[in-house]
Amino acid sequence: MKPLDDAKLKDALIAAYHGKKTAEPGIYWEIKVMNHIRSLGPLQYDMTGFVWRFAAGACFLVLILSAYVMQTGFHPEYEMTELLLNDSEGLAFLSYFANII
Amino acid sequence: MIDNSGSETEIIRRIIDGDVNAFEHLLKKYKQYVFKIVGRRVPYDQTEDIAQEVFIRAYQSLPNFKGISPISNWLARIAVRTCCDFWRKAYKSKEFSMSSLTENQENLLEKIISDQSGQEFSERWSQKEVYEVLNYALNRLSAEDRTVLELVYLEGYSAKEAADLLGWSLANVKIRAFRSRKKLQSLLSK
Repeated sequence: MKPLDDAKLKDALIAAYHGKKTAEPGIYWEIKVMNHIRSLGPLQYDMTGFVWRFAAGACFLVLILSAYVMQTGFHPEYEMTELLLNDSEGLAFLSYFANII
Repeated sequence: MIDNSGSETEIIRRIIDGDVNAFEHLLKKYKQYVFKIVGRRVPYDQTEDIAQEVFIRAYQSLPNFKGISPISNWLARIAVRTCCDFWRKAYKSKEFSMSSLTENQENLLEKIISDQSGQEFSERWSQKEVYEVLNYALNRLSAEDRTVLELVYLEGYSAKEAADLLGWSLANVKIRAFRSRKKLQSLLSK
């Protein structure tokens, strides 16, 4: 077989490829496409791209918080108790709602 | 290439603002252009469905159209990628990949392989016969290899242009173009 770089073979393949019989768009095809487009309704702004803009920032924040937690330790029950004990007004406020419930 | 005029920008703005019927202007203007791109890449009986898919994708991604390049380039990108997706699905469903050469095509391939006449290739074999053999070989390449080979080898796009159309890196296109040419070579010389 001749190598593919052979200009004659290459020309013949290109000519055959470009000489392929192709379909023509008809009026019914156009109507069908427009009906489909209408059935999709008006366009809505795609928020996906907008949301993805924050991905890098969110990942960076997660890394920073993870590093902070690794350094200081994660004990939410102590933090909550400390907050309530140091904030007596807040505690009274919360207990008011606890009584209502 | 079709120019992106000012009125076209206005039409695109209207479509994005909710005027669905304005899309008909784009459809009328670019249907021949899209059919030409799609028609070469997919089987004749699939052209209408794939061209329809191209316009549906174009409509849905119109809000992402930045207007930096002409709309014809943007549509060409969608059309080429839709054709590549078509082949990916077709190969997955084994609709085309398992098809084998007919007896006539096998005979033709054997004749081409053993051709020692030194005559012009196109003088000896009809365009239809050559296309059948080319199609047989293309059907045995992966969707990605097939698309790159069509763009770079058969249509004469530069690797950079092909990379832009496919949304791939330049290195990826160059490697795939080289490999797919080697595969085509081995398929035609089997």
